[in-house]
Amino acid sequence: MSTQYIDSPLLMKLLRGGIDNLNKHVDEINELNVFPIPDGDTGYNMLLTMEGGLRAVPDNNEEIGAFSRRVSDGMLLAARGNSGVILSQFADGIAAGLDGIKTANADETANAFLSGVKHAYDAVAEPVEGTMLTVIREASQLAAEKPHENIEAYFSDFLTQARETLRNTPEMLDVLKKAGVVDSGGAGLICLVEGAASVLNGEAPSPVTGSFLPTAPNDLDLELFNEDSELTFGYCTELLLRLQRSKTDIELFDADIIKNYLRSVGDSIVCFQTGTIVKIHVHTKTPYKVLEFCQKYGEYLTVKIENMSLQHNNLPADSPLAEQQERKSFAVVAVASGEGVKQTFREMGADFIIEGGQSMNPSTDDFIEAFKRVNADAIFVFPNNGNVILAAQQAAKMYNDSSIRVIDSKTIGDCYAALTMLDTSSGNIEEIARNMSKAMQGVVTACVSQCIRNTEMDGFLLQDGQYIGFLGKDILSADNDRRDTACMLADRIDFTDHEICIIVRGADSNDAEAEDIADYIRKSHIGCEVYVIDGGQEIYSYILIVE
Amino acid sequence: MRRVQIITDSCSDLTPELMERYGIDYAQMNTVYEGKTAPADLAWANEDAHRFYDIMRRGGRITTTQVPVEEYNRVFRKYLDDGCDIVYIGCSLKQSGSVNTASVLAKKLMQEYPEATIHCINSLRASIGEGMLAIEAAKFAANGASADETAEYIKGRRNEVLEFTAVHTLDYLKRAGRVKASSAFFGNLLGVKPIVIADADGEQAAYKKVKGRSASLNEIINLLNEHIIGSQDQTIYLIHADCHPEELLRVKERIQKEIPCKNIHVSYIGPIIGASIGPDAIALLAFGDEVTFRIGEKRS
Repeated sequence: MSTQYIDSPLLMKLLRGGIDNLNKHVDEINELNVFPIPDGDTGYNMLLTMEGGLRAVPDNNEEIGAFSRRVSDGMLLAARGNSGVILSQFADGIAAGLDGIKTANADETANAFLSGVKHAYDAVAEPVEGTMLTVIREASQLAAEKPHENIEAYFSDFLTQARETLRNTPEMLDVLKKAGVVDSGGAGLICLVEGAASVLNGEAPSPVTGSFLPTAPNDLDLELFNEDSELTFGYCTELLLRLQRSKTDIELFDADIIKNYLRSVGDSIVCFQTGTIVKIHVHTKTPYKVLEFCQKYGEYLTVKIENMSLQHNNLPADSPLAEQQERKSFAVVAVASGEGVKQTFREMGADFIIEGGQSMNPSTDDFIEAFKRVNADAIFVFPNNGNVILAAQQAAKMYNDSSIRVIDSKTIGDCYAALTMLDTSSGNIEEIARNMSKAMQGVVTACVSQCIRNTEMDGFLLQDGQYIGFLGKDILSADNDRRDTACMLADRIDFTDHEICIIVRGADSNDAEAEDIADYIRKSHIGCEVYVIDGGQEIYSYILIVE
Repeated sequence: MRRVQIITDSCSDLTPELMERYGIDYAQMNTVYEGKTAPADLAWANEDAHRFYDIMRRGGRITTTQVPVEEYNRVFRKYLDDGCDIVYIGCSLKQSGSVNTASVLAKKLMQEYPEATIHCINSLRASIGEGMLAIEAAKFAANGASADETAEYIKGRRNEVLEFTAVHTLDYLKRAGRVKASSAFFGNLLGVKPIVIADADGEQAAYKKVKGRSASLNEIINLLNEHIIGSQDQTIYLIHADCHPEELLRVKERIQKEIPCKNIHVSYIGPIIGASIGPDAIALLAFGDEVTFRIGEKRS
């Protein structure tokens, strides 16, 4: 094959091919988590960011410059997580490089990629080498060094160097080396380019549908469906099914079997497979039939069934469809997950909670929607995760109707400490932001979670299923017992100059155990005030906030 | 020239020694616990202060009542019959209606004792801030001032009384309806130690949020240091709701080190203020910059 230039119909195919390939590998990329706990989501973040780009181009009958601009604008809005934001900025630079061009030959493509690298680096305040940034930079630079006869040759050179750089990422970044993984964002990028290259080589991309976006649970008014109501809307049924080897031949399984069945019992169907997980969404009056049918192929990871009569009439304040609030002077937007955590933040003055966190990074667009909703002159934003800050900043740059301060909060503990000190009575934006930033200083946030693979880290021989206590990227305790892991974690934290400890307990723990841990900390740190909050968060059995 | 008697009430938190030294008397309010009414005795003659605050720590709810008319009648008549004029300095009207009750009675008594003058002054303060004004009034009157002059003098000094209080929680004050706080103080503020001050209108106002007990103790010392005037000629009042002796000592030592003063008076917050503010509250009081802060107004 020899392709001399890329036009927009071809670019559309390349994008589809890339997304399709990324989708196939999304689980593997998620698992390239530097931490052996189930909160990695780079694959999802990149996939959702790319899907946003594709959604922005329903047709492909314009010049490649204008076409790629629309793709990159779509990606900017959909960007989530650091990897998504960097990817969107890479696309932004590529679009800038293709500006005014009708079709792109190999040299023009190479130049556009170089422009993409520049934009991506500019987007990050402190670029870290050993990440996707290095992969795109080295691959783009090396591939641009010599002229290429065709597009295939360019991609081939790009991929050769990209794979080489990816292999080296652990040498550049200690956290990767320690965890024994390569950079997930770089790996995702290679999946995208490989998928595109396979299209050039004659392989047809399969369509990509659906999305992994979970829907927020609603506060339901049960009176909306009474003894005399008729079931008009049916049930919104969402299932995550893990295919089981004992039940089906996973390699041969085709999600279309389920999709076809769903058509016979309902509508609004979304059904797609990612790795061994099938995501199912259907509106049906007989959810039991769906449950029974799908269980033939696997077991459920999650099941959510809601009567849509309640859903239709009752939207929570945080719902994107809820009424916009009256203009106010100040508002707080915070990212959080776990009902208890969200409720605590609301009580402390957060006007809008964006559902998300480490394992579900909100997109730029999620932030912009939140900014619109709170409708305030000044908005303080708490990303509460190092991987969410970029998307929040990108949103702040794109939104002009409010003065926005993104507070540099990297943990739920940061946000908690800052919000307890929230006081807008001075009326001065800078002072309010400064006081909250000050309140975060010295706050220690440590977590207990469950290990999902056997590995050795920080001198701990970890086993699948064991509990680990960690602070930042350092594992401080590990044990088969959840309580003991939390207590040993507390022992390793320096309580000097700290006199408050908040234990945010997760969905998998219980009050008695949390109180027991609280007593342990009270006894070992006399004078320290210890409180327990029922956070209800997933993944982290305990979050210890020490301030 | 008629002698001027200074009278205050159970909110003043004056110790028996201070009252004796300055010749001050007081009208008693009452506490109510489990349906039983007891006079709020500033000498703690019938109740151990530590035990009193422990009741609250264990969750017991103690409520308070105003000065009954009969009590005013008893105290006022005692001095009127002696041929005295009276300057009564009562708890801030934002905290208690007692001054109004006293004023109504005073009008009646002045008809009965036409030669007598009775002034009932809203101190705009509570606790020993009210007591400090009573002491100033007693000293002023002892130098030969009339009741009218003493009343005018004290009214002019009310907002010079600084009060900075560190509490563990606003819950007690909120439950008693005795604090004004902005929305910044709502919600679940675990570990936050609000600083409460007496504002220019006599409200107890949540003024500032501070993280942690030590920081809040430092904050009230810093605030006092910033606003006190002529400290070397003053007594600084350090009053508390049954705080740990070591904690009190630490605060006292820091004041001694940082704020030169004549004397540091340490004593208990009495039962009336104590029931409203809750155990372990600690407050520093002295004279200083005129208080202009009003809760609800933007700070300049």
